[in-house]
Amino acid sequence: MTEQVFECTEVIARVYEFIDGEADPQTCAAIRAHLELCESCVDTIGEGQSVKALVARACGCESAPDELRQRVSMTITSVTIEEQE
Amino acid sequence: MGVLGIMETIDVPVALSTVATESAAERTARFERDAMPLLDQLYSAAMRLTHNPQDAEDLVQDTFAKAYASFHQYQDGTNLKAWMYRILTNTFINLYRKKQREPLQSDADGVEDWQLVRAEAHTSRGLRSAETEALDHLPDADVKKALQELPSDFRMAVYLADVEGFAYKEIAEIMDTPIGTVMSRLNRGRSMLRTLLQDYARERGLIPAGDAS
Repeated sequence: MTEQVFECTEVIARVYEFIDGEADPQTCAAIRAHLELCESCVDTIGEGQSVKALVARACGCESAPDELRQRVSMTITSVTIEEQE
Repeated sequence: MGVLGIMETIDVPVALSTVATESAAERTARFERDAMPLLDQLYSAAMRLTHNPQDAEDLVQDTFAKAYASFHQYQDGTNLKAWMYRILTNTFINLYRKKQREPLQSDADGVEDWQLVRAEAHTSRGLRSAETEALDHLPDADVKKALQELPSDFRMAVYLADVEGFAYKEIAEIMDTPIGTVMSRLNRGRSMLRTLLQDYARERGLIPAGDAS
């Protein structure tokens, strides 16, 4: 069985595809094979994962103000009433 | 599959005839049930896009009004969240970006994406892991501020991928752009983000200034 092992440049070019789960199985296998040999690329992947996790943690989860919720509900209701008339 | 199983499966299409003949009241009920729960998520995205609560509220209000007006065109069982995000993105581009007079981003500035990552690979190992660990201690406000610094196309791509977990293909549809452009925006946006976050970590003393590479 001949398994492909990437070089550093090939791994670095695909860091985000790998982190985002967008790389195909052969690419993932070739990256993992490289990671067993290269600590620098392990760090590069870890860095990318950290930043991604940080954005996920910090940048979502705002609550819409109640006033907005009411405004949106009123818009929908008023359009419905107009249509029915 | 039991009744519960069918109800839990989002890709069960409602017969088109049902949608075509539904009354306004039925459509409203469907919209309230399926779209309204996305309000907080879309408001979060709008906050990241517009920088301020008033514009974010207006953007979300416009998005929901447009979505409701064309909800008869939305096919039940397809990805509603992606559909709503596409309306949000288009509305933002048409209304707010013009208002904010943000310069358009060029995707071609001659630096290959891998070179941006490559530059980081030369830093020593202990320093890199210390820096990565330091980033975890940054307050949420710093991360939001860093994201805000990105050009809006990059910011949106990063937001859709990292906060919402959309696939590249979905982001391409939402942003109406080829997948290659999505990947390029993600690469550049994240490289810029990492540099900004490392700067903030240094300013806060989380990374000793003497270690700056």
